Amino acid sequence: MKPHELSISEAASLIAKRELSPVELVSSVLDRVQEVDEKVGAYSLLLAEQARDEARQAERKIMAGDPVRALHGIPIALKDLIDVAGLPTSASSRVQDGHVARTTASVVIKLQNAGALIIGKTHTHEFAFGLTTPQTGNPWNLEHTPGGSSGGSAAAVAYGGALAALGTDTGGSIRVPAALCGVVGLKPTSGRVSLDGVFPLAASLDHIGPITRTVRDAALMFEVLAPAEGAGTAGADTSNDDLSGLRVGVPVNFFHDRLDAEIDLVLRDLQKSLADAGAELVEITVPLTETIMPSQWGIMLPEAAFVHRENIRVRPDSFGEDVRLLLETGSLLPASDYLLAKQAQARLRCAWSRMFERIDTLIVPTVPTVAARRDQDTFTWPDGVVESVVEAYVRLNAGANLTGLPALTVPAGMHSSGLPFGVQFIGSSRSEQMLLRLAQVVETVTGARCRLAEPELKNALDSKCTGDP
Amino acid sequence: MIPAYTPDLTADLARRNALRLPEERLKGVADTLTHVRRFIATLQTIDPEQSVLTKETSSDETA
Repeated sequence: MKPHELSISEAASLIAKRELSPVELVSSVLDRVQEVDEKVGAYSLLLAEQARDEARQAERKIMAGDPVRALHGIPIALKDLIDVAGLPTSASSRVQDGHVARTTASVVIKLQNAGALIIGKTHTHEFAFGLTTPQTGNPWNLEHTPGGSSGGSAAAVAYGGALAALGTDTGGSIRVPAALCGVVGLKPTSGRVSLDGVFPLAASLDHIGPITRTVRDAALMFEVLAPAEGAGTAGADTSNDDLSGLRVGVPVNFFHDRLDAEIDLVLRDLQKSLADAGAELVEITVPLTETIMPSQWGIMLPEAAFVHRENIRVRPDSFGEDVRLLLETGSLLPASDYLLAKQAQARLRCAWSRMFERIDTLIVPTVPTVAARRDQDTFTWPDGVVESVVEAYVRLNAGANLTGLPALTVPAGMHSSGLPFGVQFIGSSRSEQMLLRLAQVVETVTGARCRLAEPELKNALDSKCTGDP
Repeated sequence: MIPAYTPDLTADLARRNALRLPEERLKGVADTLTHVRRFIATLQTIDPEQSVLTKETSSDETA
């Protein structure tokens, strides 16, 4: 196994035992980026020389007998919305041309204090306002989207161009690309990981979290980003696979509507596996699901328009067309629409809080179908309904943004098209450790320790995926 | 139901919000605004106690 194929926990263990040098590890990752990223386009900014210098420093510290920190020498990528002092935060937008960050985001300081090496910045859908990240290809099939908006981060982790990455999530933007690229993505509880130094999209809905290749790595990253409070709290222990007493909610509404048949079947099988591990399956009607999408749009559009209120008026031509249209629309929505959506959000929070008194987690699909083609705007479902790619990917994820509840996606399998998909667990506030335990069981059952994607340009005629479910 | 936004109405709304919208963009923004507002308005029907917002589009903007 080459160093860039290692998980964080594997690499960290070898580094601590001096069986792997941070220099070797960073070199392997950078070689992989050089080999592959021209095809995938995950990186907006690669910090190769800086990473090599820091790796040499990390190596010297180990040889000097300094304490080895949790992420010592581990190369990590940042979604290019996250500030690092002295570097541009491009947000993958021409609007940001010439920008240089003056301070470093809190999450980056935490990673660096844990010994991580920042290897570069990854492409985002412009200002995180989209679900496809057009500059980047899906490493499993470059003619397909990696999802978004954290598509660059997910793609880099999936092909071995970073051992982990940070993404942001306002309507699924960590979980969707993680699922479509076959990696793990965690959206923590609202407010649990600081957004200081992260370019906002919609303040009511924004979250930041890790994208990794294994559940264990997600737990390690989360422990660094949001250290457990109180002495003796189980930090990154995901090894307890006895789910006795855990009530897993199986939704009877909304989440299995307009869902690819293969994904549906796999999820049903996973439910049985969780029951075999001791969990109690509880059929549940999830309340107020019909309010999710109208609330999401009613909040996201005006809040994003507020963030960009100056630039959309002064330099609108610098935005991409899709983002420009959304910002213009959001700028013209009346306050009453926003308040109606906020009111619905408050009701949803109450209703889901009550729901989580009856269950411990919801098991739902992360995406209703696998990655769309890069030139595809809609899906056509068997019932004839035509749905935009954006709405299809957001609808299963926005509920966790509106309520601020934690949600985690873990790879669930490979579709017959050759593209991956994920299963998602949503939990009550601050229940990330439980979600990680559940995801670990899934990872064990599926054997879905993520193998690296090998990007190649496939002939369109050879692709089994038509893009329609 | 919220009446459809016309290009002229959208242009007026944009002017009042100091938003520069060239003529070629008016229809696209009008159509999107209509679609989004009607979608958000479905939240009213979900809460029977809510009585806001079947206002005419021309009456809910402020200068």
